[in-house]
Amino acid sequence: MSKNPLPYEILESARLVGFDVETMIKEETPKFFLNYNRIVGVKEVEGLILAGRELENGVMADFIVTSGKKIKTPVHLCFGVVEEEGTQEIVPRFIIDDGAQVLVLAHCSFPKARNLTHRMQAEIILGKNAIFLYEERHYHGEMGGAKVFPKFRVDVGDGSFFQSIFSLTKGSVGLLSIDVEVYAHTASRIEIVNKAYGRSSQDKVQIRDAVFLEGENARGLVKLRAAASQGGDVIMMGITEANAPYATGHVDCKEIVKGEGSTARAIPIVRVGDENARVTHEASVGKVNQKQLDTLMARGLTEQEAVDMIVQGML
Amino acid sequence: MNIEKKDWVLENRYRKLIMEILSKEAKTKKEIQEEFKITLFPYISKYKPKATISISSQALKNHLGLLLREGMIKKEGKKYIVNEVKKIPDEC
Repeated sequence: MSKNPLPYEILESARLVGFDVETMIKEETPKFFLNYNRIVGVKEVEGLILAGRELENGVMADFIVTSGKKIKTPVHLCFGVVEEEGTQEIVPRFIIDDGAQVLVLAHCSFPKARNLTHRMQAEIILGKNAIFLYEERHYHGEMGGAKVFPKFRVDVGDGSFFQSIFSLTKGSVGLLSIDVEVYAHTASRIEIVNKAYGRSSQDKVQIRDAVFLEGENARGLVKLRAAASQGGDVIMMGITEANAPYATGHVDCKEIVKGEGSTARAIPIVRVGDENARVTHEASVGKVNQKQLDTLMARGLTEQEAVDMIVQGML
Repeated sequence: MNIEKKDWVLENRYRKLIMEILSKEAKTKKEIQEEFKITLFPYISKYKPKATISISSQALKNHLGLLLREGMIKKEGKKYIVNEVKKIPDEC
């Protein structure tokens, strides 16, 4: 594998969203890199199996951490496309076996997207007492031409911890439709965090995060943060359903809306199917804090720069 | 995906799986629990995962109670079976 198998634009966007690119491309860093629908970089380490197969419009992949193995270095995934048009479909299976632990940093970059579709259909299982920390950062360029559909189905075994953090806060969004379902078993813990910023009339964000607490003492937190400005449209649905004794969950939605034609909707849904379970929620959708806006504009920022800064602070 | 128009009862994949199990034949709660196993095998790798997830007895009891109340299943003696009037949607 060459030391730098990714195009310059992909690496620059990884840098823009805050990843340490030098570490990411180091030869010894565990990784799975795609350039469009070609597998261009794979590095396994002991206990980590990364296998992929190229398909006509995408890639099928296995991501496995074997039983009892703790992967000490973060694993980098990169799904990049520098073409303006096309389709990229990723179909991965993540198996984090009993007692295994791993942190994954995933980067999805479509810097020149004009009419580009990215689909991800991921299935994930965590065995018993496993830890899977997954952070995904996106950059969709500046033209609003990306259509992105990530879908995750996750089953979390007894005593395990699953954390997923998604962010799309730089550049345009285009169309983003996230659909996540997590099933949490006995004494497991779930944290789902989504952050998105739609800043033009081309930007539409739809997020559905559903956590089903199926085991005694399972705990879930769904945290949604979003902003819509200059005609952007954001809808976020956070669902938590508790079906077992002493399961507890919380849904927290916070959104900012600014500018004519912008819309933001938050839908927290809580359901309890066991008399000893408890789920709570909070939601707020409101305008940018005027005092903060005035202070920043008094210091020389334009209104849009000031709004961006306040929104980035919340996200 | 229209996130505002989902059937909430079958939005839970586990309830859908229970319906699938019961659509084949009538089963007791214990038989359903034995059949209800969540596993995931690799697409490409030959690795054999140990991870297997079972549904807890109390969660299964709660799901069966809900499906009974909604008229999606019925109980015949100790066994549960799908109420034929209701159909499982292909995608929920």
